[in-house]
Amino acid sequence: MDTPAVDDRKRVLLVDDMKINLMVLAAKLKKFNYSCEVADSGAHALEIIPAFKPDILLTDLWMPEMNGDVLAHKVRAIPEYNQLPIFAVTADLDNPAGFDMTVFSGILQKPIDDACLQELLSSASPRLQ
Amino acid sequence: MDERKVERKFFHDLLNLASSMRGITEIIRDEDEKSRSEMLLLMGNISESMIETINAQRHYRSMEAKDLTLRPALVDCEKLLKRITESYNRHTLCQHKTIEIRPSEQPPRQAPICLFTDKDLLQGALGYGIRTALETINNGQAVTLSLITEETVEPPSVVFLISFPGTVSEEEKDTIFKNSETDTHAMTGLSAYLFYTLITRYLQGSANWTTHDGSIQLSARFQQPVEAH
Repeated sequence: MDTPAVDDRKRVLLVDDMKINLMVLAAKLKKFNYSCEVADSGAHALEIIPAFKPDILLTDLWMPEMNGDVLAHKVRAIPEYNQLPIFAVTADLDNPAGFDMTVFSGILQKPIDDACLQELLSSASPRLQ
Repeated sequence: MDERKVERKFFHDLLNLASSMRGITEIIRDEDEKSRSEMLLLMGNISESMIETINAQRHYRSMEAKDLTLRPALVDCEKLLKRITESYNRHTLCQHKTIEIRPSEQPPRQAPICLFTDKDLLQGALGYGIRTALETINNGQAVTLSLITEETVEPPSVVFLISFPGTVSEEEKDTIFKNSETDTHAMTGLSAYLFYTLITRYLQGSANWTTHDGSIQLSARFQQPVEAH
């Protein structure tokens, strides 16, 4: 009997209220051989997390229903995800004032450079071992 | 007004949109035909959003420098509202949200409702009102636009209404429309400021908002409606 194929790729959850940003980032992650799920709001992300079990979370900062830092705090409040690598993705050129950046593992600046993205994902991966 | 915050939001929005465009160009080659068509459509929508973002900044700068020039002409209000609705339904802010026109409950008119005003500036001002609404509502919610005439008062008026779910706190009441500090989570952004200032300072109208039972209504009222013949 065949054993079901196991997807051992790292799972990345993307959160952004702009569909196009999700499409672009998801396509890039697929190219880099990550398994990817998308959520268009913080609330949607919190729904997805129990089933998807992300290894990494990338979230936009400015979102209408729930800001990225609020989402990150909510995720960290879940005991099994309190060490989850969570990265803010932002086009803000300044230090993103008004957000609690201490909750994030790092920041990914838009426009997203492929090399930076890979470096960031790799930096998160050792923590997953 | 905090010039620095306005500038920060402008560059944030522009960079965000430009990043999306660049992202699409990077991935489009590897996509199938169906996805490519969808992405091309999205690129068009992003371009429109970029133009709107740049125009908003131009309006703001011109207003602050007091050198905004008006070009008045006869404007068909219903056609204008329809055009704005179509345009904003394609806007990047409108993903997972809808904009609809509420049919008039007033008796049918023989002639279109017209104003003698600057069409582009009126379109821009109403667009900022819609943008304010889109920035306030959640995914799955709708913005409703309506156009009414008030002919029993003198002089008669035409009123554009922008209705959407939401609440405004007492603290925000005093600063709404008068503060260009941008925040996508409350009605205190550049869009609300531009909506108010363009209508009241340049288009000789009045702008107001009311909140009732979990919904907000922005209104733009103009006197001297003209019937086209």
